[in-house]
Amino acid sequence: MRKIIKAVLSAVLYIIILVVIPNVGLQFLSQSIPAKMLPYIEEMIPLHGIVMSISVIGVVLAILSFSSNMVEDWSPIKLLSSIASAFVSFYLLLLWFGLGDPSRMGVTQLSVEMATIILDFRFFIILELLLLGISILSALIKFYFARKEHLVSR
Amino acid sequence: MAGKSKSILRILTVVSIAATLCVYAVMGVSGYTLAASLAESLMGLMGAPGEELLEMTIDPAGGVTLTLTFTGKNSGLMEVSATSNLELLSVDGEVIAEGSDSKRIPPGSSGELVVSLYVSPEDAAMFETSPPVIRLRFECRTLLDLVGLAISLEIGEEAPPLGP
Repeated sequence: MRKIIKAVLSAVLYIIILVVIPNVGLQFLSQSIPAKMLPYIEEMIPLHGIVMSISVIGVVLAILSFSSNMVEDWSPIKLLSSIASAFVSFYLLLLWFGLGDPSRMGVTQLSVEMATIILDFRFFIILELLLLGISILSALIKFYFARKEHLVSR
Repeated sequence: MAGKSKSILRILTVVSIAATLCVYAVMGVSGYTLAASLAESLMGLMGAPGEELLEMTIDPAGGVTLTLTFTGKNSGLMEVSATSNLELLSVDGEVIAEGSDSKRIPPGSSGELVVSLYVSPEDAAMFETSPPVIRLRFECRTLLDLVGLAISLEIGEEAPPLGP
């Protein structure tokens, strides 16, 4: 019972952070920004597309988190969902720093009439890659010890 | 789970959480520093009268010296490297004159950036028939210059495309 509650809560948390808040925020932004400005902003940053992508990622992360919390530590499902979750989180950051285009790899150029804004966040991508490595290593070690203990106890 | 493996897992969990928090804190602080510095510097640039920003002097031979002076402000939490670059381009995109200035600005202070460029009398005469394009680029970098934010403005007709 406790396991189910933990699994549901962690999934709900992802849904709130990555699905509910961005969509509510976008609605709020659409209402607070003058209607004339919206096409210009959309021309620079595809806000609706970004929020849609974040929402899809949020649902995927919620499913992965739920499945990860429902199984035992020694289960390969737990290992696979932990690794998949780390990769999806990395993709989310690429999407965020690429302002909707993950292939930009941290270097984004926005053009508005006579001005061009260039964002160079490649170092953050490197840091996030480091975190991805730590997450995968952590999942592997956790799985190894849990599996070892499970085999001994059998 | 055995005591040794439990302690290894505990250490790994602590390292993982600490690394994640550090990375996000660094991202937040540098992002805020860059955005605040660029925004404040640009507001200063837009608010200043044109004649105070760009000064033009003509020498007896007909050559023109353009001097751009503006203040880079750092209202963020980390040191910022501010670079100002001024380019004068012909209508077909050829760089006629170029100049840049860079300053390291500690948090909470400001630094004056002065860019001067000289246009030869021949080019200055050519500009009377085909006006040049002025390209101003202002860049802020922080976190040991590893992350940055830049804005490039083009003033003049038919601005040529940005270089790499």
